[in-house]
Amino acid sequence: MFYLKRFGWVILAILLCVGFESVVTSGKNFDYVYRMCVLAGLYVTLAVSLNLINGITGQFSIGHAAFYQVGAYITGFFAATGYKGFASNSLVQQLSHIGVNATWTVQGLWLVMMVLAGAAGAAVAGFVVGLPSLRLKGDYLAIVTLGFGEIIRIVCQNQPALGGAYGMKIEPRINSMWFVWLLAILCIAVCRNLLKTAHGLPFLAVREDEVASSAMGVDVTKVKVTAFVIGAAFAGAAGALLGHFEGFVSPPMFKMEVSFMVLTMVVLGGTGSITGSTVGALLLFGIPEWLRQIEDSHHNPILVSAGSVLGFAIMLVAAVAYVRHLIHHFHGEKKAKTQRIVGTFAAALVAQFFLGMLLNLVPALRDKSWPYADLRWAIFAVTLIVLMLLRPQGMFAHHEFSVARFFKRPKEAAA
Amino acid sequence: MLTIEGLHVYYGAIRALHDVSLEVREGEVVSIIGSNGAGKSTLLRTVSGLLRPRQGKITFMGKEIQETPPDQIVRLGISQSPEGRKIFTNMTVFENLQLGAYTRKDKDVASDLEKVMDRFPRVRERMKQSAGTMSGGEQQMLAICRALMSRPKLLLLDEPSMGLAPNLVTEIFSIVKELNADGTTILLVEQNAVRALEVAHRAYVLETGDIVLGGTGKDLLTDPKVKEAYLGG
Repeated sequence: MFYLKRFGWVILAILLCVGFESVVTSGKNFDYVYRMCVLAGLYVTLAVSLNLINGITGQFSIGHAAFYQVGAYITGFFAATGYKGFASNSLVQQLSHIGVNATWTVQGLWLVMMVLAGAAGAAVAGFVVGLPSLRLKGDYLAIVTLGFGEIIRIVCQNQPALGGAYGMKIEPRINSMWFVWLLAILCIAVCRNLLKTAHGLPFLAVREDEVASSAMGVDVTKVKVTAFVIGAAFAGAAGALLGHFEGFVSPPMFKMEVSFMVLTMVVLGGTGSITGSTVGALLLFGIPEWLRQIEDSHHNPILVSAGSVLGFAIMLVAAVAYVRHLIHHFHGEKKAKTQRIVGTFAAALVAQFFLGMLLNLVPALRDKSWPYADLRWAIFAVTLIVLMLLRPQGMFAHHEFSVARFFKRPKEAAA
Repeated sequence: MLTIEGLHVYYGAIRALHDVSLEVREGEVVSIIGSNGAGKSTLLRTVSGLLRPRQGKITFMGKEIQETPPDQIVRLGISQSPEGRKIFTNMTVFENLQLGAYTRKDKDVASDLEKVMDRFPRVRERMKQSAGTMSGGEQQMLAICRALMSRPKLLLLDEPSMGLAPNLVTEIFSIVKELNADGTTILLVEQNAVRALEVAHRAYVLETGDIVLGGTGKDLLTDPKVKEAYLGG
């Protein structure tokens, strides 16, 4: 019973992840959706682990892709040299009879080992990067971490032993979606537990004020380096899974853009909020994929209408949330203003709806090959700018999502 | 209890403290007064380990601490309420106090919290509030409470009256007296010379990095030089 209480959620998480995988694999359009789900899980892990460094401990790091790369390359290195020997090892052969499927068990064991190796390697890298963070703050630390990220990538690119610019092939490819999501959940759980227990207070204290923290007896050095080590380890583990999922690793997979994307996820979700990072990662990864339908629209008008329905739903939720917010704030005194804003939203909804209809119903529009299909990233960028202007503290600010909080009046929630 | 001998502290090439020696005995309130830039805060920051002296010795209860890192110094029993309060504004009052007791692993933390709260009822009222939303006086009280939570043998107070209304200044100094009456040794740094000298058993005058005068609080209050320079003639 004790174990069920303690580890019940672990079992639940595994069941959820496996169930999620089987749902995805049974659906249509399996390859694309499966791939998106794996990458989304990896991005959640990256964002939540960067949030530990950037948001919770307040160390502005923008070289997270480097840790991701270290994990991936360690896997690449071991897979090239050791997988065959591992699979034919007598102990592994004996163990392989335990599971339902021998290949499955062997690959699973290997994957666990690689994830641990990737995490360990990245943790060492995190320790090395964490050291300058003792002396540097803010912008200066950002430049150092940025430089570190580029150094790792360029060293790999110029090292023939690591495959140079071509990268390395990784055998076997392992489709590991449930494993990816398990890692994401583990990362969230570790960060959450760190914050909920007394161990987490020093991390928050260092973010607030380093001098005051050390005056309280907090070992600031230790806290900063710990944050870097844990954050990097999770990124490294994600890298190891990425390597086995893609079947190869190459330097362009770990460009600066990846670091910036992950950073944007953290900031957009609300620096310091684990919920925020998770939602930010899902949104920022999902929106560009969803926007692909603009490119595809002349092939498949149904997608456009699906898009407009989804857009409609999102707008509706946003409108409800906003009106709720306004009512709580103004209690009717500023009725006119509220009405004006509600009116604007209603107009936007109608416009959205008609746009979708137009794209579908007018044949001239539907069959047109859109010349601005490549505007996907521009639309994405505009969305980001608008969101940041409207809510600079990020979607969740530094709060976590809770049901109680959602139904509370804003004033009570702030107290 | 605390002895400082021949302390030299520099910020880069700039000399902040020059050959400072002083002593704090158990059960005392010792004040250090001086004008802006005299090096008062530098002195406290050096004692609490946030700054490293270039030369000199700091001895606390028979142990040399000038090379000890700040978090270890807190564990030895020196706690600081830093200049400008430096409370954790985005955390709740309770979390601030928890961090004050960060170095302690014993079970008396909860009862100590009660004791501290009994002395500062205004802080108790605000327990769940985010610390940054309190008034300046309340924040200063919180900073002192937080420093007390580590159960210090020596309490360092850096400008506790800074930016407070006159009636609050009176309150803060009466608290200093009470704390001392309960057995806490206090090293106080202040610009408000009259108040600081009134509560002090002994005091030192710091001027551009040098200790120019020392004596009992009463003596300094009547000293013509101090009167002219700090007490307004």
